[in-house]
Amino acid sequence: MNSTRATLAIARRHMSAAWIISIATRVSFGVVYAFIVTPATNPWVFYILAILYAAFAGAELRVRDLMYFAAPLYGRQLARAHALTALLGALAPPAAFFAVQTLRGLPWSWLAMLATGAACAVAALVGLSVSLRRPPAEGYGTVAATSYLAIALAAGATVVALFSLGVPIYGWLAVALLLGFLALRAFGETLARYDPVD
Amino acid sequence: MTSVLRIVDASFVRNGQALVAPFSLTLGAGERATLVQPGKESARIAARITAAIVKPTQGRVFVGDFDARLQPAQAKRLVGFVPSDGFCATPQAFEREVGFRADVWDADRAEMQRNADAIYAALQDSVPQSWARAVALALAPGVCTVVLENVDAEWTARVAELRPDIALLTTATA
Repeated sequence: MNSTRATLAIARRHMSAAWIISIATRVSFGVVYAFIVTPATNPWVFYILAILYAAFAGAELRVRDLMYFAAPLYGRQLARAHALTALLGALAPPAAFFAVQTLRGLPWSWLAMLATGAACAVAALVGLSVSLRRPPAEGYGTVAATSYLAIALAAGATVVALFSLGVPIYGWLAVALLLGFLALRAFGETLARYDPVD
Repeated sequence: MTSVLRIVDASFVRNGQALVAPFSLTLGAGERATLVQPGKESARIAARITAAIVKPTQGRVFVGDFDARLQPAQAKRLVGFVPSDGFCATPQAFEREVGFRADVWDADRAEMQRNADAIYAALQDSVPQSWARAVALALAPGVCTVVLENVDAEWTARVAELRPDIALLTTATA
């Protein structure tokens, strides 16, 4: 089986008109916010917003679609493909923000950009687990969905907190990689065990 | 005859409630069977167990030579599944889904589209169009078994006429 072809097919399937509109809206927020933020603004306001958007980029994917479970794919393959889409959605708004800020002559350090990107990636990967625990009728109202959203925010915030506290790059990057890896692995295993009976 | 689908004492329990009682069956190429369950939910879960989509709590499912629990991807390659509400309602969605299947099954896209269009054309006048599309999607990859979830007997007969060479399993409620 051609794993890359299957991965790209799943990612493409996610990228419906609704998904593109949702990402375009977030990118627009990123651009607008880049015009509002000045060097005097507390960067944590931006960090938290970016992490929140990223968590929802993972959480909103329709991973419970029966088509995925009827297809000849392993849980880990599905997890990688969903993660690819979630990461694209998560990184687009901060990328737009940093691009506009740089054009406005308010450049951020590359370390701050990298830390924000890493934090958003971690939040999106943990956020994927929300998507499996979010029954369509109940939205984000279930205890499991809310808990995983909180974990996604906390995981993303941990990465930028380490960066803000002056931890060297290899420290917070290692934490981000570890959290992202564990989140993706847990999501893949949950997908493999998941029974779409509803 | 070699079996293409073999189910041994499969059952499904959720939250301590037995939703599907143990059942066994064996189907060879070209054979038909209907699995009758007491309720709609049981029938839906039983259909998904036979299509290797849901793992039975007890028992085993073999599709061809593959154990669905140990080799789910290989097993799913050989089974087409048609849910009661169909997979796609519009012609545009149909074309997209055929492309998706070609990529995931690693098959030639144009050939998959030709197969799907031919099946849809043969069915579209005798069954609802959205369901005909779902059947075309299920059969297009060249499966050896098809599972029809909670479906009208007349529609099942149409699929059987169209593909007499494959095993066909349907679920129904008592």
